[in-house]
Amino acid sequence: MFRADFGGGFVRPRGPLATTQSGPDDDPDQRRLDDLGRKIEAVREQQPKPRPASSGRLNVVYRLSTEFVAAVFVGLALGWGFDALTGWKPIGIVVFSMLGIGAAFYNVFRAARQLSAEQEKKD
Amino acid sequence: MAAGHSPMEQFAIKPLIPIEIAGYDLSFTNASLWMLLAVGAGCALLTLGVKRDGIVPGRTQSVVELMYDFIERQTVGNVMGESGKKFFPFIFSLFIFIFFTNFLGLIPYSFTVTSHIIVTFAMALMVFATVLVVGFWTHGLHFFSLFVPSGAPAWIMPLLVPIEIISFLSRPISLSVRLAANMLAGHTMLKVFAGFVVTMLGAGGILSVLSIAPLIAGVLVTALEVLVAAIQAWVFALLTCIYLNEAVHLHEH
Repeated sequence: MFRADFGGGFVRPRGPLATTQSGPDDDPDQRRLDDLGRKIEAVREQQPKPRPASSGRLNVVYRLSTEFVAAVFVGLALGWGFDALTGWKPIGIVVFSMLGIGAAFYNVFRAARQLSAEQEKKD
Repeated sequence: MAAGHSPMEQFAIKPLIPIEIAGYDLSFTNASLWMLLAVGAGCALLTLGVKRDGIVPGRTQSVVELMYDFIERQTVGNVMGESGKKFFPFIFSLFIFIFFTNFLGLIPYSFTVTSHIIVTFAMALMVFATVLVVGFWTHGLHFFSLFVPSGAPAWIMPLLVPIEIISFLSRPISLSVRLAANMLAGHTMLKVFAGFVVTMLGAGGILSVLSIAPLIAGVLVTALEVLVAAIQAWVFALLTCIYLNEAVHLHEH
């Protein structure tokens, strides 16, 4: 129903209908369509590649900082819970917050690796 | 700034229809309203977009196809490959919901649901639970090997395994804090700049003339917020993919 708007020439019906008609080489419409496709392709190649959005850097800042803060927070929470359960007051918080800071650096390292992998895919 | 016009006032939750069941406050609030509107707007766009499936898409259909392709091929397909097919509906629903709550929140006098950490944390916990279920479903107890980094010497394991576990537990927190903090910071910034314009205009003299500066800043921040609204919805979907991919493939990647 939508194809009819183009008077038949522009969008060719797909499927068995198309094969019963003449081949693609001797059809002037098809040749014009191919020509247009090549022209668009040529123009597209000349244009500079779109660069990633400028807010990308802010996004990286948010991503890395939340990864860091979250791990420290989880370490502190685990330590606090450990102390509350065992009653060994300072030990849990000291040990787990240190582990949390370790996990924080590990998180940032991993997030940075993911970000650079994304960047490579974009280029 | 006059009292009652604090930049944080926009985040206040107000009950619209008070409901109380068994002592719990279950009121229908402005947050509930805007969540419903986001779901409604998302469903409306997606159903209207595919209603007339032309070979040459119209404007609405183009938008829907672009969104679908962006998540299906460029995000889920890119990160998870074939194994991502089953998770696509979940990730796409998350994306559409966050996308629409973020964008509806940009309308003046509306309410930004995703600026509340309890909402984003609920979604992050849903992702976390899905990762756990999928992980144990596909690998059984072998899923715990996710916490054992491959290729590290055995004596360092007592240090590395707790770090891996803390890192794993920190995911729902970083996922939810990132989205909520982005929305909260952006909308507060907008309100602060807008407030400056009003107070400077009211002050008269040279300040009235200078009030053009916060106005321009406000316009620029609005543009930035449009970007952030889309990017944060995508980042949430992307990280969900990355976490699910790890649960499915463990250390293969």
